[in-house]
Amino acid sequence: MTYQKFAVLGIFVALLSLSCRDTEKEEKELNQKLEQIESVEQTVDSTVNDVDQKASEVEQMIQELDSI
Amino acid sequence: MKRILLIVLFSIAALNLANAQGKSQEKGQGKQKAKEVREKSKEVEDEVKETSEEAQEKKENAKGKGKEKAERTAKETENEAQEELSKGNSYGREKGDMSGKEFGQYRASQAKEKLKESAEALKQDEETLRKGRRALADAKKRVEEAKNSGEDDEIIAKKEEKLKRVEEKLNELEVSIQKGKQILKEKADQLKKVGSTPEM
Repeated sequence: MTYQKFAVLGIFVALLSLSCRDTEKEEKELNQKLEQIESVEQTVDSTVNDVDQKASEVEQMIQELDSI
Repeated sequence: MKRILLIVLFSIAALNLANAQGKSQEKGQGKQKAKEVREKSKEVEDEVKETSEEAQEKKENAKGKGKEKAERTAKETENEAQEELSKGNSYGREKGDMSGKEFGQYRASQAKEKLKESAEALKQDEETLRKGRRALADAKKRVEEAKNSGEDDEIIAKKEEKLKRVEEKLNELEVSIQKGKQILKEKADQLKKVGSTPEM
């Protein structure tokens, strides 16, 4: 009878740990995706800022050209 | 033996039930929270847009009048807007009651929106480039005419030097726009891949 109780407990613990491991895996995957998304946003931001800066320099120069 | 089997089956059923219940509850709350967060982010974006437009107006005014001070204020306002925007994104990992999948989709849609806005910004920069090319061509004509009318060589040389500098700047801008477009394309593909991976 004791052996049977241990078997049930063992199965119960195994199932529980399996469920926990799944959640952990999902969390890890989500974090990876969020990191990728953030990196995309950062690259896009810095690229557009760089181009915008050059464009505003050009705008200033256009005004200077008008005086030529 | 039958008893053990029954107990095992009961435990499995109880576990599955608990899991399913948790997920459905999370989904229900998550949807509501997602809606709230979306509304909030929309408000912040609207505010930022308004402030950015204000800054742009101020900047244009500054350019028109050539007042350095006004331009500095415009720049500050724009920086504030940028800060606000980054604050808006700072809940980047704060998913509240949203499920992982919903939150991942929500962040991916935000990033897509950013890509769209950036593409629009690049279009505006292209317009600036075209405007610059036209202005340069006109200025070149004027310098040529001045040369033919016998204007002072030193002045002509200075003007030509300026034209050269502007042309270089325009070329730089063109290269930078092309690079920017390429990067946006790559990032859009990358984002598609992130969105298409299972269980997000």
